[in-house]
Amino acid sequence: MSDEEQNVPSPFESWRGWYGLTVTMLAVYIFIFYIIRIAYQ
Amino acid sequence: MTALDWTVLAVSLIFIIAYGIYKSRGVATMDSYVLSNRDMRWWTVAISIMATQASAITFISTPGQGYADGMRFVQFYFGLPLAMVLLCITAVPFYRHLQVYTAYEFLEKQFDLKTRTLASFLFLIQRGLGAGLTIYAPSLILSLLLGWNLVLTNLLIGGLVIIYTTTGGARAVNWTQFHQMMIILTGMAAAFVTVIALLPDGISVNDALHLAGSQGKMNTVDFTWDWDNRYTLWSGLIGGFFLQLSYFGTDQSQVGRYLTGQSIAQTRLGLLTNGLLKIPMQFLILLLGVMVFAFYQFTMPPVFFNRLETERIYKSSYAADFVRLENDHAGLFKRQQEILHVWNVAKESGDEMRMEQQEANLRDINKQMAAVKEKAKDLIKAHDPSANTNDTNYIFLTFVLDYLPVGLVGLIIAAIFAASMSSTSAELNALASTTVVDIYRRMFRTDASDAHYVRVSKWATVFWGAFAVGFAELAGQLGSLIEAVNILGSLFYGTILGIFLLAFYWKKVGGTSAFTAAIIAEVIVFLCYFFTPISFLWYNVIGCALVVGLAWVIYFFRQKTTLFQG
Repeated sequence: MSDEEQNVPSPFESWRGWYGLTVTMLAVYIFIFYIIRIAYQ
Repeated sequence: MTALDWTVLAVSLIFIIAYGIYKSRGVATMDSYVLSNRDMRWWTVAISIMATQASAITFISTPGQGYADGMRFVQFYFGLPLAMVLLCITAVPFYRHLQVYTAYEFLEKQFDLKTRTLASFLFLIQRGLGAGLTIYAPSLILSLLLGWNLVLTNLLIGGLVIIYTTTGGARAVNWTQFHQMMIILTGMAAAFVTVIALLPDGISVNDALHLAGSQGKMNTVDFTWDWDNRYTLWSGLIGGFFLQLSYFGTDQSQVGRYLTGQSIAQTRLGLLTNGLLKIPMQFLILLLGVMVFAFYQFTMPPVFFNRLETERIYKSSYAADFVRLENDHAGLFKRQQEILHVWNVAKESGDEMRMEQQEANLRDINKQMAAVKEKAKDLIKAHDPSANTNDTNYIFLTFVLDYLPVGLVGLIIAAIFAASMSSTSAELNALASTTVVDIYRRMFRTDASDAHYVRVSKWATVFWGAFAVGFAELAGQLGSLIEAVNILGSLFYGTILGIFLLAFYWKKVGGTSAFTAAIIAEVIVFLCYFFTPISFLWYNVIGCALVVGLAWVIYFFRQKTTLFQG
């Protein structure tokens, strides 16, 4: 079985989706941190 | 430490060693010794990567950084998810399809033997010394705070790591890292819960964060573009991206971890999980430091957190001056409590304007306390100019030793041991792999049996372990050379990254161009170090840019020469 045949099922059925999700999560983190800064600073 | 703390520490360490040896069963081939038969699932890969990057000093000093400097350090990791994505797209399929054991083997497949050997040597020098410091740094802090013998602490950490890394190779490293990470996270969670429980009655977590925020500690994101500010959103995204790319893409201690994945898919998912979990993990560790800061608003902190330096100043001719500063500090703390009382009353009655007034007063008091601390540092320096006046690394452990309940102290010390061992074991495994695969098997014994190479790998692990412990033992006497070792890393990292970038994207420049460019770049970086005031952090960028640029120039020059000759 090749590497590709052991693909992890992704929410978008492609690795491009995973990469998009990762970058989106980074944006979400930054947004949450920004809210935290506004809330407590 | 009490008997219960010692028991917790001993049980944790014995469990790790026993488990590492247990997982070593059936490790008889190079594939299993160097890459654990490439049978790891994504979550093991992710935890192994995280445990390798987070050394003991990360868990000791990051809460201290949160205490002293607030949350802004979290921005340093913003480039990590982006670097993980790029590595998943480029490096992972390259490494997997070529079925390499080490990252440097890939360089020969793309270029030639001399480029591979150069990169291997640069790695061995840099990481060999780095492994010594991974052991030394936490040993020094533990020995200073707990009165342990430094030589024995180095030997204990190094010796335990050598035992299971030698017997089990990558398999033992990966599986013990999983349990080490569990101990670390349990310890950190226990410390977090304890600091919350230790807040005074009537002060909630929200109040504590509000209070810390009013003192500038909740500076999580900074959108300004400021070259002088080390941690901003932009420096984290851009600088952090390049730094993490070179570390995860070219350093065998990391490449060796994710090549143990079952497939490209498992490796990719492991790397992306690391990219997603690392930021919240660092956020929580920094937040722990901020909560410790909030705790010390209500409980008097020492003027200086490094007890050894404080005790030395008590015995010196500066003792009376130091006691005077401590009295000033106590007076300011008393005033601080009065302000906090008024702040609390205003909070209860919902009087926000009065709360803000008291927060401004508190900022003023904290500034005065910081000024007293600076004077204390001046005294320490005056007594001994070589004394270390940065006490950030001692803040968290001082809190742990003074305020954590019996048993939890042992757990935190076990977590620090676990963190030190997890990083060191990955480093030793990578050093042994590179020594055998890239040097010994490639240049000295090309036709020996697999069992022979496994045996040599085990000896290489013992050698590098002994080298690291030996360097850790010497590190205390080397003084400023420790900083030189950190600079040493930056002297080579840029050049290595440049070579790999050429191998990934511009293979056509060829091995000779890459090799020559790397040598010239390295010489220029060294000249920068000796003859210019450029900060060593920039050497990474300079080295990388020089290798890529010069390789292209040499390539075109050689093309023209060939055409001319033709």
